[in-house]
Amino acid sequence: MNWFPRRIRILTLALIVTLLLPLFIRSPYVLHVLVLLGIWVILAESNNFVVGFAGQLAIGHAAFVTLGGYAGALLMIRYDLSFWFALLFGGFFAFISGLILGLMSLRLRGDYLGMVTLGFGEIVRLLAVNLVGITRGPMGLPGIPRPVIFGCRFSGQLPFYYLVIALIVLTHLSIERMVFSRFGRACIAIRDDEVAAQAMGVKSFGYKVLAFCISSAYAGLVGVFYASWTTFFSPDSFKLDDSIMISVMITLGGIGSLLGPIPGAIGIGALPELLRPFTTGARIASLRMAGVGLIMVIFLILRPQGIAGMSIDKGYISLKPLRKLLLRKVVSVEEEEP
Amino acid sequence: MSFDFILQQVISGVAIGMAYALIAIGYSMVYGILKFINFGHGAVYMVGTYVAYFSWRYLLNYLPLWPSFLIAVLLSIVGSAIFGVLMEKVAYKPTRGRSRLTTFMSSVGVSLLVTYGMEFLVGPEPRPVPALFPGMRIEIGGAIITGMQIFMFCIALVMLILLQWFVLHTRIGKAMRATSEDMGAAYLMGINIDVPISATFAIGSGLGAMAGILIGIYYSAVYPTMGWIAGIKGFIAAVTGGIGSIPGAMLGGLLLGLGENLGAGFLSSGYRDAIAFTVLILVMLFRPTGIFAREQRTSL
Repeated sequence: MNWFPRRIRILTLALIVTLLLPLFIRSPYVLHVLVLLGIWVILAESNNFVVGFAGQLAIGHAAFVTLGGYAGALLMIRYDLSFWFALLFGGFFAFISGLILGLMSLRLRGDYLGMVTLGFGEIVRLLAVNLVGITRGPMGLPGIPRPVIFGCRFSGQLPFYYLVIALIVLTHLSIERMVFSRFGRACIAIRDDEVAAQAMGVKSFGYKVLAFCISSAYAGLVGVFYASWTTFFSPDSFKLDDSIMISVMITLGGIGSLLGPIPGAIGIGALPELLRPFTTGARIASLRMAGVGLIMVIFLILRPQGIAGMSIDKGYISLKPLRKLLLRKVVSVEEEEP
Repeated sequence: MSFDFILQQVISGVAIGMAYALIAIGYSMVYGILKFINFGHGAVYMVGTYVAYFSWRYLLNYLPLWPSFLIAVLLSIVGSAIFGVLMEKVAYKPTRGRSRLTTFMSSVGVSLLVTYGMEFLVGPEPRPVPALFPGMRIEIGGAIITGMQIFMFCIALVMLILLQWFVLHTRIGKAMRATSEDMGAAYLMGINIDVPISATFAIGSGLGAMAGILIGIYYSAVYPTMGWIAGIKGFIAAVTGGIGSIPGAMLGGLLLGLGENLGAGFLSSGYRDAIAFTVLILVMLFRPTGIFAREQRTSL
């Protein structure tokens, strides 16, 4: 029994490197990009929990970021509550919204669920645009206060950098614990064969809804973090494109792999910065999205298991006890036709 | 709320609903055969509209309004039919036999590639489209019907009737129905599966392009991301009417167009798309096989 497996060693090393990184990097621009990448990592990991482990194709993740972001930002602006309370409330608000949507839609399967969650994302965006009395509509909410810790207000990028690392660690540890728990095993069983899981006594609907809510709660936390970080939140902060981008990140990283979403999120998230020298202005965004689409199609045809699946195949990352379980694709059993 | 106002909303709803029905066909027929939602359909719709737009603008220099329009429409329908078939061959066929979620995600990728590739080429700003019936309007009661609305309705209706005839009374239509009923059995009966599948993509894409042209002229704007919302609305129309059925797509489109316009009229036009998505969620909740589906299918 190896209590310090290679995967943990790699993660610990990566954590130490990221903690020490600001010693060498002083540029606020680079730190800004790194914080943004951290946000993508949290979003990809949490979306991967419901897509990869519970096997439910939920692609409206940005909607919960928006919901949590508005809830937290309004608490901070209107009621002068502290950032930390707003952070928790944002997560809670997204959890409850996820509960409502999940109860309504998780009886659907596969691509239908994908379309409904995408549609929900549009509804949230349109509500944020149109409820001008609460959200100030497309003008957005400016002047969101930054967090205060021990009487000191956050300034510059550095505290946010450490805060996002703390959130990533929290997200990763909690998701890992959940995946290896009774709840996570039930989710994986549902993903692999829902009917068989039900026959084994797994109450699949409840587990699916819970997985969906938990995944949404992380998105809500990210929303509050983002609002406080940029001090501004608008309906366009996280929209349809971002939801799809998160799906792309986990598809490339390896759906249903614990580590996969991290390289996926960093790779796709860093793409616009890498493309910046070659094009200018609005064209970067178009080129990036088109490139992402191309990579995605190529990956799905040639390597549906993603980057992590590839490296696990070659034995780079050891996941002995659950390896076979985790390596399976999202829906390994073809659904029955009517 | 006056009667005239409601009548006006009903007229716009019926006209735009018929265009939604044309988009819905693309989803409905592909789902009927391959059992997956072709997210790339919205991108085909957009490409078809741009082909028509650019060729029409070019031809207007040499020909009068109508002949140039007809040639542009033909070019666009043929072009997007070829595009749709190519899309299936390149991006979907290699994933056939795997989980249908893989194919769905692949279609999302295609949609990103095509939509943003087009945005990269032509720029994101909307371009105005010339009017087909400048100034033509008929008054009924207090409501106004524009020439474009009548044109949309008639074109869409004729195309849907032709399609129904094609599917029911031609050899290839028969092959399409057989393949959608049971692909394996159809293969064993000597049907070359690729032919009906390609035909499905060609027809769906051609009709999608026609819808794009109609809607582009109706709203007088084409822009690269027009396929997102239009595609999702076509999907909603297909689901509402019962996926896999042509009359269902038409009724679903009409219902969606009416609901959207009446709802937008009573609430605020900002909620137009939100109403469409609410319709989707309600249909999924209470009648996932579609309102007009004859048989109850259990699996979605």
